[in-house]
Amino acid sequence: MNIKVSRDFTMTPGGRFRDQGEFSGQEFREDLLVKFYNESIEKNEKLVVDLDDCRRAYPPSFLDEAFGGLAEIVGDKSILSNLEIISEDEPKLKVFIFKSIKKKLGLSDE
Amino acid sequence: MYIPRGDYIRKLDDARKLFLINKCLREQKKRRKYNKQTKRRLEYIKRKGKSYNTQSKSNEYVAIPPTNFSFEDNNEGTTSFFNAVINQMHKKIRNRKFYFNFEWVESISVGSIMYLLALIYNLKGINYLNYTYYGNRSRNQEVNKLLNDSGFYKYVSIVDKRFNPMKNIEILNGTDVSTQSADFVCSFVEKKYNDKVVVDNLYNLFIELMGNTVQHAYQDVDSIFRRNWYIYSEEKDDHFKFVFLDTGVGIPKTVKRKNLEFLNPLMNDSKYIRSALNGEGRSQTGDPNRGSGLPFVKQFGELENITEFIIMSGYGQCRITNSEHSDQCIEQSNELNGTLYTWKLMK
Repeated sequence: MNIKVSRDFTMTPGGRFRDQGEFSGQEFREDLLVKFYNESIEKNEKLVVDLDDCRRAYPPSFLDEAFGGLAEIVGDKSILSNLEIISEDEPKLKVFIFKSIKKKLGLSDE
Repeated sequence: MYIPRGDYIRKLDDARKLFLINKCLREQKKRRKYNKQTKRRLEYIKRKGKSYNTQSKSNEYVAIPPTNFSFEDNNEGTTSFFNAVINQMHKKIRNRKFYFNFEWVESISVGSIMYLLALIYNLKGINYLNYTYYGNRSRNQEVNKLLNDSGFYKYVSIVDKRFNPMKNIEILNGTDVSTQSADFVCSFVEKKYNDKVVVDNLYNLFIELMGNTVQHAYQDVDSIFRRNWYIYSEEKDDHFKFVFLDTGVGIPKTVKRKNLEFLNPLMNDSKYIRSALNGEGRSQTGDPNRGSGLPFVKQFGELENITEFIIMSGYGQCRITNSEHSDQCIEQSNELNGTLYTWKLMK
């Protein structure tokens, strides 16, 4: 299963919470990420999230709320094998996202 | 001085004549004394860079900014001036007229103009108070030019036809995390600046600062101010100048206190700001996974092309550089109500 942020959500990612403004990490997680993740688990597939081709960058609070929040919901380290991130424009985002997920799950960074 | 003459005075008896003449002389003496005091006060302002505010008529408040009207160069005088204005605004006297006398201002910074604009604009939504604002221009043409070019005169409805409004300045404000506004400022920069990494960081910075304002800054629900943030961006020959500010409670009042820190007399606003910039678990939410906004701000301030990055909030002022001692934080004598970030992006 596949989500391309620039196509399915926004070209200008926003802040952390839905009540702060548009295109927030919470909105992305609740409206897209959780739904697609659950569907991918049912189909025994990986969820691939493509972060490329956005006009603007991804604020750290957006990524933390979206993916860190997803990790909190999933609750275990299966998310690390069921989630794939594509970010060729900015490879550091992949590192940041998995670091955020591990932090939420209380795992070490290695 | 009115001295009754002619038939009227001839008919009065001597005692009455004497009374009237003495009364006139007393009033004359009082006026001379007032003029001397005013002259002495104005000389004091020019020398010390401080300000004072006088109340001339019953519902008019005259505010005189210091001659060096800049947070960076004259923090004490500028914050003292603004605190006096804010106190008057908080008195909620209906139909109050605020007169800003810029006559003696010789130098002015964008941060001061933006903060004044923020105070005026934030109150515009409180219709029942019916505050009005007016003022005069400075004797210094450079100051007038900056006041005009920055859009200040436009906001307070003065149009100076001698200067053409500059197209290289943008001022935005809002109450939410606006991706549209952040995108707009970045597009403004991108016309003349090609480094995508820096522009991406600039976008993220604005989103983080807006998020901090929306979530933390306006915690005082009784505040008469709108919950706005403000962005000023200006293109100059060799750099871009930015200001971001809000008129909220300030960073030091929103960071989490550790253990019995409030009993520690050595802790002050600048130390709280520094601690938050260093990511020392100061998130107000108490969540150990939060509190990464201000560390990101510090990382941005340390980028090679970013200079003169200053954060002012409460009594604290921090300068961020990309040298070894990357943050220099000092405590000011006057408190700034709100938070102000200012920086330059070198081309």
